[in-house]
Amino acid sequence: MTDEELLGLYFARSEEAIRATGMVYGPYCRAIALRILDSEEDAEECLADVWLRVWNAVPPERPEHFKGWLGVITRNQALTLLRSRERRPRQVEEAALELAISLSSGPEAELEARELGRAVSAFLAGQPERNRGVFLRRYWYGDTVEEAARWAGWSLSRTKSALFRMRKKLKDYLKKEGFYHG
Amino acid sequence: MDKDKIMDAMNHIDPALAEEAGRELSVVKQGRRGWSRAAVIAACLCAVLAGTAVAAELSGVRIVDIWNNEMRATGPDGTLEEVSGVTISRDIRYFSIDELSQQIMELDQGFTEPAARTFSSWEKMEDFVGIRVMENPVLGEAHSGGTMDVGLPGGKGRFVACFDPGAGHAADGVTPMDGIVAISLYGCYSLRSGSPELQPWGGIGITVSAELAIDTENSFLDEMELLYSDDAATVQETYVTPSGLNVLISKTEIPEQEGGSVPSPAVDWYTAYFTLDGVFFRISAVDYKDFNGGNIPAGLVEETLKEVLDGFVCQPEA
Repeated sequence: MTDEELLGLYFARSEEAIRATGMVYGPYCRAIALRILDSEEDAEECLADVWLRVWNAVPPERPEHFKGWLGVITRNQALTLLRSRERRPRQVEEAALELAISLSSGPEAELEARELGRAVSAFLAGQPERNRGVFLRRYWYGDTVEEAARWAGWSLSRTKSALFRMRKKLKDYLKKEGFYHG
Repeated sequence: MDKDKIMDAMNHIDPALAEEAGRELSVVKQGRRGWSRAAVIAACLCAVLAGTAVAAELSGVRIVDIWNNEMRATGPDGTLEEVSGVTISRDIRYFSIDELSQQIMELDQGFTEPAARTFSSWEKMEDFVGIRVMENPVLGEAHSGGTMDVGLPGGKGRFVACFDPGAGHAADGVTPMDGIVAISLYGCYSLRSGSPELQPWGGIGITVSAELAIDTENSFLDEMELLYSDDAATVQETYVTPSGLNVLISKTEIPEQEGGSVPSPAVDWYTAYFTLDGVFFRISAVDYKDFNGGNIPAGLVEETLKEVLDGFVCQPEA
């Protein structure tokens, strides 16, 4: 079933939409939720909230990249759920810390999360596909470096090196775009 | 900049980029679409065609199509029936014919139909093929678990290798293995043997199937179709082993079937799907319900299956 067909079901307000979305993208979203929540039960709860959010959002929204959009909602929902339980996402947090350390060695960035996210997107859009994929596997999906290396079909050292260079480039990009003050 | 801000900022990443990175990048050779004979043979091994919706993005196995009440070929003879099911795509590696053992290359020159051969151990089967496909200490210590019958001459035993030469093969007059599509390896194991709670079965049976796609012009194994059973309910879960293997586990609840010469008991049929180093694996276990005078303790079959999955040695690329 294509994304267009899935979205068509939502626009027709057919309850089949949720079941079909679960069939096609359930495991994808579940993997994202599990990585953050580290609990089968919490992942199930998260997905139930995700399907509800999707049902309420479409229509009027018609996401151009439905799968990625679902991933964003799932990641967001999983972090929200985790924080409501005063728990920390170990693996995702570890990856975020790695990135935060790289970006913080300099003037403090005064960016809102949304603005920073957009800037990172713009930066990544200009990078080779496999490089930005590795970056997102590590810092968005929360993969370990080994998993990101396997995804790209690269050696571990090459992946570490690519991530290091990407972090440095990102910092330079943010500076150049005027995101660092002081 | 603190890590919380970074985590929040990453939530505002362009969905198009997240989607792109959510795809498996393994090199997948696109081939002809349709039924593979290996898939049909594998499907015929099951007493019931399990409705298995497979979409584990991270395991290299995902749904590309869902179909309801469509006319599809349901058997090796191509008989068309109105059925429902899914088409899955698997990120498999295509092994070169040069990687196979010389023994395989010397198989019967008259080999024009799927053929099979039995072995006394999984390792001997791998030696014959010339490719090491799995390392699993849990299965290494498991007991004999009955036999497999792939329905081909020489295809009944505990460890069976099945060779599928592909459609239209042998018409070109080259060596028989040139046209091979896939080699499927099957192994039957029993875990928890001797456990008193598992009487009268004597253990929990685990069937391992490993499918190696061969790089020939006949290759079209990157997609396969799985049929739903009309009267079975299927649920799925994604399971990640401690070594990082991403597995999709499908559980099909099949009700008791009456009629026929032998009534079939109600069973929960578990199948784990994943790819490991480009080899497509299916690991099956069956939970019999109130059959033959006993009940397997709740959850034990699933637990045993996961124990086997946890045993797979999954090494990151150096």
